[in-house]
Amino acid sequence: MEDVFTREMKLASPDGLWDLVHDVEALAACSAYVSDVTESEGGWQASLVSKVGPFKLEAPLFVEIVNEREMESIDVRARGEDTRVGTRLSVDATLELQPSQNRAVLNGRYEVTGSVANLGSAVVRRHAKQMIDDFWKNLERKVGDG
Amino acid sequence: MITEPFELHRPANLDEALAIKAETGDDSAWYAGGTELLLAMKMGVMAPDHLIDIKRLSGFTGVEVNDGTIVVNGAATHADIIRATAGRPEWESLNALFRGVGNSRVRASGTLAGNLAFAEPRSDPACYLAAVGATVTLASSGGATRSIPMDEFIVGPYTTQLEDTELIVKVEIPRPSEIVYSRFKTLERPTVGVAVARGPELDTARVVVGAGTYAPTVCQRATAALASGESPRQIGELAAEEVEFMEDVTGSADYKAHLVTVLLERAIRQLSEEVGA
Repeated sequence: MEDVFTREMKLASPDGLWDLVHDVEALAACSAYVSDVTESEGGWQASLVSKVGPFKLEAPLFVEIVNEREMESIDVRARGEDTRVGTRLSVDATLELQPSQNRAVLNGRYEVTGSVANLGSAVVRRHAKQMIDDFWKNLERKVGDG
Repeated sequence: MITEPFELHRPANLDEALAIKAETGDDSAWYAGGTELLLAMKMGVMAPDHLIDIKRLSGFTGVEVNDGTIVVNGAATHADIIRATAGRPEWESLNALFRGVGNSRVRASGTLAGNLAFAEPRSDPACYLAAVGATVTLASSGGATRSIPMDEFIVGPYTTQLEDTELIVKVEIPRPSEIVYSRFKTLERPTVGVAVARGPELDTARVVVGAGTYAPTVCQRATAALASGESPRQIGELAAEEVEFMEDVTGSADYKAHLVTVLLERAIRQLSEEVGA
């Protein structure tokens, strides 16, 4: 199953967000589901652990920057697979800065295929929303205008 | 599909079982009826390294019917509950609920504790038990226990307050003065379920919607409306507005809201007719 997502925030300063996006460890710390981030050829390796009750997804993630325009936008791609429960996931997202309005907009698309998708699209979508909300809320605490 | 390899533990008593769970944490799963667990393992959604078989734990099966309360032990099956309440008019609604769970194979081997712990959202018992004010008791290694009201136990789809090291040891079900449970079902599991209970033990009334929601939801505004004597239709509409519906193959949120309105209206009319009779 796949879905799209959008989030917006008012920034304390666009520079603050741009710096944080390039501090990968600090950025990863905004998600409770991601850990063990290390640099790898052409990107970063990380570990994703996500649980819905007794169902656990543990996937090594490869994250790379696909495209970047200084102080304008950054396109990121993440791919992972939990071979034990036979599930693949992919995320493609663009973070756009709007310095004139002190705003940032995140647009993205994710796809989950394999056995975990058997939990049903409503359950997967709700959990994914919670993961994205948590990440965005933590990011906003660090660089948001509030 | 063949499951991933796992180690099967067969502890002799509860203490031993809880000690194994404390050691293995979320790498293990409790195994009683296995009606949900084994299905999930065969589908490849779950792959625990350890299964802890609790079917043979001494004193862990059976159902006690007391005056006004039923105590369902951790490994008691749906069929055990049906047998324990058969021929007792005061428990007819509970008996009917469990006669309607799954199929005969599920009722014979599946346990109530397993059903609640798995927290499959499209399930009948959790909605009914939340309405009547049932309590779930959990135990963990070292003899610690805690009790949680059923309407707080399930927090989301497949998600409960059960910690990785805990086990449901019993479910206490009070007998309400009045209860009607109704559901709409076209496939294997219910599309929506509604329960209306009334009696002094519940502070007058409770309206619960489940199965089509992410977790059984006590509808506060609908409950207040029931207590204050609003029309059945209004109570149904209020409940449908209060809950977050799960959109899936069985229907959209609007469709489920309509079903809840109609089912609750009928359930409340039935409740009133039974009281009148």
